Amino acid sequence: MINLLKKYKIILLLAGLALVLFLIKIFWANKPATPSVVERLPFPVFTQANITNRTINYQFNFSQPGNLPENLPVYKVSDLKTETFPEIKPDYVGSPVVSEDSVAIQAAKTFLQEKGIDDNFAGLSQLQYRQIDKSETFSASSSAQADIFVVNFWPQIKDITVVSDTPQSPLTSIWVGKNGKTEKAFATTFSFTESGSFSLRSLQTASQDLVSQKGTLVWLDEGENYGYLPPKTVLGITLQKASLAYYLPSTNQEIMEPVFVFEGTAQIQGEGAIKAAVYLPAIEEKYFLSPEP
Amino acid sequence: MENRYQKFLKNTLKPGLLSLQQSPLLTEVNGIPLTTFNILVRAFRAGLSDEFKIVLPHDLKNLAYLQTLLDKVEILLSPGIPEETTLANAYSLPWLMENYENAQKVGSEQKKWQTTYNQQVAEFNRKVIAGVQTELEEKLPSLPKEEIIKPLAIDIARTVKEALPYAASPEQAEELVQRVTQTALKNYASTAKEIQKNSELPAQIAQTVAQENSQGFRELIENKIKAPVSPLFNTQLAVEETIATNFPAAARNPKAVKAISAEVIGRIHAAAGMSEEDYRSYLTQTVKAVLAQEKTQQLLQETGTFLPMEKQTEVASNISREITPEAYKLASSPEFAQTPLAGGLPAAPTMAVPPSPPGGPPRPYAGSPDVYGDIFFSQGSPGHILTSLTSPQAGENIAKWIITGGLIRAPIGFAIDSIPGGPKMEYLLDLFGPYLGGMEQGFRRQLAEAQSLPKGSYKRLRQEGEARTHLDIIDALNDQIEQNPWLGKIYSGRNLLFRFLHPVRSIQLNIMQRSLPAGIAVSSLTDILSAYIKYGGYGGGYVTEAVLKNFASFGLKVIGEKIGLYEVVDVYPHQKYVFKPLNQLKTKIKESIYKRIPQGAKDLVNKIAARLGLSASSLMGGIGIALSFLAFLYEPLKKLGKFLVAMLAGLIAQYGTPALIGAIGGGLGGLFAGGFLGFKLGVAIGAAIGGPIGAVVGAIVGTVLGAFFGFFGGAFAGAGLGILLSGLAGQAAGFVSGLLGSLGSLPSLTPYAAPISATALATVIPTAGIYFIVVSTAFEQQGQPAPVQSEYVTVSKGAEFSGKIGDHINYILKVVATKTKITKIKITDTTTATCQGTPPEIPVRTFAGKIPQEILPGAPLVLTYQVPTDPTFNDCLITNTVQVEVDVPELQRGGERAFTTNNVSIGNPPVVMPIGPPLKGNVCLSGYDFNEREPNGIIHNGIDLFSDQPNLYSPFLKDSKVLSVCKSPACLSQPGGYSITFGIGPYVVYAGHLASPSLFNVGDTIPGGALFGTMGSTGNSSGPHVHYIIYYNGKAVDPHSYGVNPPKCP
Repeated sequence: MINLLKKYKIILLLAGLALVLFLIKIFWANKPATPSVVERLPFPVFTQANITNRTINYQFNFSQPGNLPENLPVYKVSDLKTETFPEIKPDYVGSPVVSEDSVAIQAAKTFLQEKGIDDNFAGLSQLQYRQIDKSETFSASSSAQADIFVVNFWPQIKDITVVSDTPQSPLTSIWVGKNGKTEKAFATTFSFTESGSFSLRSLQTASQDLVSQKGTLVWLDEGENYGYLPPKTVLGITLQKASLAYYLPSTNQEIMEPVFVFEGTAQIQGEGAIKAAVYLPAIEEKYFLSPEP
Repeated sequence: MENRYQKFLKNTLKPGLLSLQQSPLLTEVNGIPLTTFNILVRAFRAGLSDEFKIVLPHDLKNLAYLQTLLDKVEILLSPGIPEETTLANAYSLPWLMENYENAQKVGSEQKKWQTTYNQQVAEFNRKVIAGVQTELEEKLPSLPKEEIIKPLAIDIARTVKEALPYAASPEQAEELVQRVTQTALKNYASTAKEIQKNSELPAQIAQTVAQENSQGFRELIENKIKAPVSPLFNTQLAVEETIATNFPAAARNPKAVKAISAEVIGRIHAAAGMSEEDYRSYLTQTVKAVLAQEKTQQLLQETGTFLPMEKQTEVASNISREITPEAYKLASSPEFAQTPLAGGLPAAPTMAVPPSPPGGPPRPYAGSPDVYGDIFFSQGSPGHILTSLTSPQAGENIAKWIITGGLIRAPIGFAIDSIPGGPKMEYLLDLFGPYLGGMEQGFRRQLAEAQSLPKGSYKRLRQEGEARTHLDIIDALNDQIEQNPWLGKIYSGRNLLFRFLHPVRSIQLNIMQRSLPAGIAVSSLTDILSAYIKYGGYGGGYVTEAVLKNFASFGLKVIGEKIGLYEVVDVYPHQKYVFKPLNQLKTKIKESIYKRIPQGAKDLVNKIAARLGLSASSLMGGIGIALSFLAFLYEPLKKLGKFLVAMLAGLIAQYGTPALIGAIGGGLGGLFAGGFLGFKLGVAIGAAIGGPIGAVVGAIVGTVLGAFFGFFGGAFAGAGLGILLSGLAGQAAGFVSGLLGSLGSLPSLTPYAAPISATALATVIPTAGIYFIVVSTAFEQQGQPAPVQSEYVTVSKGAEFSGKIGDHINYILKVVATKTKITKIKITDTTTATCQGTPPEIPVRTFAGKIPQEILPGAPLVLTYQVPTDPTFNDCLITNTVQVEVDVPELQRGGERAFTTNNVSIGNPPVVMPIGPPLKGNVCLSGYDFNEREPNGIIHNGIDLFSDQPNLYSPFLKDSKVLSVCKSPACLSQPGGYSITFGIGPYVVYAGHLASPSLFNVGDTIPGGALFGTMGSTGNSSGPHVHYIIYYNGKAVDPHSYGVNPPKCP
């Protein structure tokens, strides 16, 4: 028997190997595949707000924002560009024609059409009133006081808003004067193609990940101050709202991924409470190329 | 035994001052609103001479001044003081006393009247408000009374009251309507829709109420005029009314009326010394000058009541015609007869007139007894004069000067266009002329004494500079008097100096902090005098303004001033301040250490140092040096790792908590010390209570408790010490490294260690603009705007330098007539060096007399000259400011100015700061200036600049590092848009609203003067401009102090 084994050892070895391969095929092929290296995603690079501390104490004060999808596609982005249209008609004179907000929004959309910009880039709109004083503009409390209607737009993909560095920064913005003329504008456009679908973290997991300092504080409301502002020390953040968005990086990253956008109030050392926003990748952690920072 | 003058003081002035101090009138001054205080001031003025206009607003405002006077009286009452000293000091006091009593009397009557008047005003207000409220309730019954009707009624009533005196004219009635409507809509329309629907209603009610109450208000005004005040106060009101009548435009702006009348009333005294015709002419000039004041124009512009130049003369003439009879009435009033002004003049002193100084031209008033040099520094209020008199003769003459002061200073405006005569002026000429010579003698003596001191010594520098400065002033004064004989008649040298020096000295430190760009305004004392006369000569604000604008050329008494950690060691006329650290070593240590420790700790160290008989800085220096050696040992210890201490150090390094070292050390120390003490105490107490057993128990308990509390107490104390010392150690280590580096044993680590090379690197950056450099440590305050360059002349200047010490710096100067022929060209070229070491002396160059008589358009005047360099130029920033002043014959206009500045950086200058605007071309102020409040309440921390050339260039002469850049699309929706921040050392600049993202990234180096972006309108901007901020040590500072002085954009 031993001799027989010795004699046919090579055949037996090959048979055994074939059996192993068979078993692998039978048992492993039906298991969900762990994404291969090529299917993994780069971790999105967020721009952190100007703060001093790394560790942030989070408190949560929001309810589940409806049914969140379990999976969402990511998109490959190309031709990303932000075009500015400065000082198109640098005069603010003339009879006021913008009587209602909707007139301003329509004027802005018309402007985009004239520039050949697709309607998709004017998905979600938001209106701000500003008044002119000297060479600056300042927030106005009502349309009656406004010299300029700032119409901001964010694109939407399947009802999910696309955000940039901060959720407050529009991707497209049109300044419509009270006289109906477009005073200045910028518009961000890009092409995108779907590139695989990925399962998302639950909101509970996302909250735990925030506590584990995996989120990035991307926005603190500095009001209308500007200049070389000193970094702030965040004592804690109470998050009051969570939503899903697509994050369009301003850097050369080609992937647009879903992110959780948490909004709330930050307690700042020496200043009190101001509005804040935090980003956290919405895709499950295991799909990323490198561990989260 | 008291002398006779002491007796006099004791019985007259002292009780007078005491009663005034306790008077409810003055007690209330400190607590009552400013408006009432102003009335009191007017009342005081009515009985007092011009001197009290200086004293009252500044000193009598609080009772401390009275106390000071009393203190001085007490000193004069001290036993043993010679009679002549008391006399000298007390000469002016009876006069003061009389006026105090007069003021007290007037003020007391005023107070009684004020109570009644206040009741009348309150009743009137109540009536107006009730009228409006009733109307509103009837017309808008649905509105809530308390929340809407009542506050709206008060708002409307307030507007009605403000507009009442002028509501007669249709245009003013219309304005009233608009104001009321705007107020109502702005404040209430959002909450009360009925008001929005009935937007015309508030204005209708206002008009009705105005008509109904017009008579009542007039009665109120008449009552106010009837107030039991002195004639001067009545005159003030009359002046205000006259201005309002003759100048309807100004009438809409009560602030403007008050500003004008305040100036006019100050000239009333002059009526006593002039013919009516002269006085009228003088007053016309006064009003015209006031109307032309920038401040007045600003007030008028607030309500859109700007007055064209040609109209100003007409208005001034009207006003003076109206006011003159009033002034004459005043001058002949019984009250005026009681004042010293009307009481005749004291006899002229007999003085010998010494000869002119050797080698100099004959002086109009050359020489006088040296005693006047002693009183030179006695500027100020009578209180200051009291402290500074040193001789009986000086005191006597000062007292006379005070009495006659009102007459000799008043007619300056008049002096511009006419030559006053009369015996009083002749008398003053005799009285005060000799002062100039006396002072000249004094300062020549000071100069001679200084020159006998060791060459280069600090004392010599200081004394010599001071003497030269003053002699230069005296020279200029003599020149002026020679050229303008009338000036000598009015302005004795003494008086003129007094008028200059008083405001200069009092605002001296302020000026230094502001680092005013004054040198560009004028270049010589002739200009100062012209400006001084032009601005009216009297009135603190205007004199101050004039002096402020010219201070850099004046350069008075700044030598020896300690500005922050620096001391001014050298100031010459026409040059800028030269600073030197008080002591580099000590200063650097203090500067570094003090920044890092709280004030409480500083005080503590100072106290410890005082106990030890050391200076705080030397103590801290010692600690710092000791700790720096520890810091050197720290790294090797950490690397050794095997040893416990190194492990501990490594642990600490990892956690980065210096407090932990202190805590562990302190805790262990406390543990043992506490345990030991506890043991000793426990044994003693235990033995006393329970014998041997008690001693054992006490020993155990005491040791445990002592160790416990000792550990925690020591830990806390040690932690605190650790935190304190960690800051010191870092600085001290840096300092020691730098020191060693400078000795050659280590590479250069700090600016102090910069090697001094024989061949220096040079950067030449010519810049067309209007700035110069002042090296100072305090730039926080708002600067003064520079004058606008003339449109008829431009000046440019190039500089070439090989970079090799010993070679010349070649300057090429070009003056261009831009529109028409220019003549009488005067060029003043000032070069200043700011250096690591003692700066070189570079003389001022004045090209007057060496240039053609005229320059035609298209044929520019080009001048070249060289400045030789020597080793003292090493590590210096050579700043050159050129000013050209020309006449434009075609326009019959003189004094047109242009200026430019360029910089040559040699080696490693001590201070690297941003200089000038980041834009080239025709730079102007397009929006908000520094410190202006924006509509959102935010104080504008920078300056909004525009230019026809949009490229932005680094304002630094050297390389700077980029600290932050906002260049992502998200920046477009941020307030500053695309922006960049970069800097060197403590200086950081920010530029916002860039047209496109800067090409630089964080950490990049921007070479000195390099292009870094383009002006745009991104962010909150409504038009192309750059929001430019300069930070010094993290705090936004006034760009005006850094050569950014653009005119307003058209």
